[in-house]
Amino acid sequence: MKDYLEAIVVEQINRSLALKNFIRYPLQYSELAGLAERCTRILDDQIRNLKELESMIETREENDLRDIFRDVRVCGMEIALVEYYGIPPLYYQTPEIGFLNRLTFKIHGEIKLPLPHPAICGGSGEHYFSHPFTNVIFVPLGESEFLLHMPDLYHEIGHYLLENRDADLRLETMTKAFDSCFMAIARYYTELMKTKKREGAPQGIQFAISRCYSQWKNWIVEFFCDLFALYTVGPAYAWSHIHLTLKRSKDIYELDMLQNQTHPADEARMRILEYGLKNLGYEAESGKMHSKWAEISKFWSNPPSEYQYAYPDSLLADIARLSLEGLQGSSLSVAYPKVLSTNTGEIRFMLNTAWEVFWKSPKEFRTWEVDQLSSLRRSLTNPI
Amino acid sequence: MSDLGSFSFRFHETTNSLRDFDSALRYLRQRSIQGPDRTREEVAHLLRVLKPVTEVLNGTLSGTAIFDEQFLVSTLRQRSTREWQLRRTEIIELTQKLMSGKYALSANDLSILNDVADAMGTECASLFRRIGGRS
Repeated sequence: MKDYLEAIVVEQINRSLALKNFIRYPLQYSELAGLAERCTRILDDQIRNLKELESMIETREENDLRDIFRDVRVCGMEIALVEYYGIPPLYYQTPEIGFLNRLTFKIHGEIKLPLPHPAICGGSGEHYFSHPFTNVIFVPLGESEFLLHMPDLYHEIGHYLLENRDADLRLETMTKAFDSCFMAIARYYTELMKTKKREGAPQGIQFAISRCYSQWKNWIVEFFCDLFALYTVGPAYAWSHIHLTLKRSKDIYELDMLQNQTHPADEARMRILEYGLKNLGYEAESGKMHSKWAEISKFWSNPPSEYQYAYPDSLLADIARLSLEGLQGSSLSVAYPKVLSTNTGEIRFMLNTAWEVFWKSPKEFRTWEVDQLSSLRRSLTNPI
Repeated sequence: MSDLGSFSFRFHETTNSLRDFDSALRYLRQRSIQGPDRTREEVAHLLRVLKPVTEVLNGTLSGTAIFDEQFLVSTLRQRSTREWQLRRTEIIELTQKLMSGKYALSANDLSILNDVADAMGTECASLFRRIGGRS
């Protein structure tokens, strides 16, 4: 087994070296420099780790390799993730990748993100998603031709921020706010469980409470990123959420009692966004969205009985409040109504206007959208 | 974020915890301990995993947001080569021992820690499969 593990170590070192050669210098777009540096650093770190493991193998007995086995596997997986989710934009460097990265760079400046900007790549097969290891956000290939879902980019930037929250002291308030959210969740469910036990609630209810609490480990991240998006781009994010729900949601009251559910139910996400809108001062928008949501929610059936334990209103309100406090204290530019009241050429102004135009004249919207995108491309290619 | 992003996030958190856990395990199995501060730091890495696991074993709600301790416990249970109730008690006792500042580890303690780390390795592999590994 020692020989075999050593051979895998050598194989993985060679793979890392080969991957480094797929990064095409000189870079076509300077906005990709951060990603190139990050991928190179991760691969170099893996090579160092593997070499260390190689020398450790030599000193071990055949029956004493469990930790090394685990480490070699983790190195292999991480190298594969760089290959899948880091190298492609650096290898292809297409004009679309250039446009999307310039766009993200501009957003990054507008919202005053206190971190290097994340990279972005087209070709996702799963709507938008963020890869935390490589810090690359993936979007569907055609996304750069449309505006209505672009606010989802801010949600992914939220993931990037959360993942790197320890990297900059300016994010300390946000980190504390996130921790406070989790403490509020733990407090709520511990208290609820105590009460139910005291009342002699059946095992089924106790199980449901424990499962809901367990799911919150995923849900809090998603709620936080929803709020981050809403607080940095404005109401456009909530409209985008409604839009995606109508087109894609399996069940707006989704609640899985047996398996891990990565995302909270769309109904609860809408509810927390409404709290967020009110916190920002968008009362009228919140009312409009509430009506629209009431219309679309009729397409789905009623929530399951355990739903009452999953998304308590008081917790959603607390999280919406704590998240805003965290962002305010972390020098991020919050999209208050005043910030979005005049056109200063910001992307978020355009994205909110897009939704206004869409609701005013849905049939003519596409002409307006194409025109806006064309101006945006010009301005990003030749910035003033 | 799609499910893919969510699994990636969990994968990243779990591999980081596993690396820290394994590094602490290697440190503590050495005979030459390098000072109380370093030792406390390494034990803290172990306890970041052991405490939530023990909370689940004791039937209480764990306060960690880092990884899925329910998954770890269920993997430990499935894989336990010893009688599960005995292993369960041993994990709880080892956690209490480390929390009380007793850091000398027996061969059985090391075997328990390796079992816990293996369970984390299984979670990493399971998450990796969901984010782009073989299906």
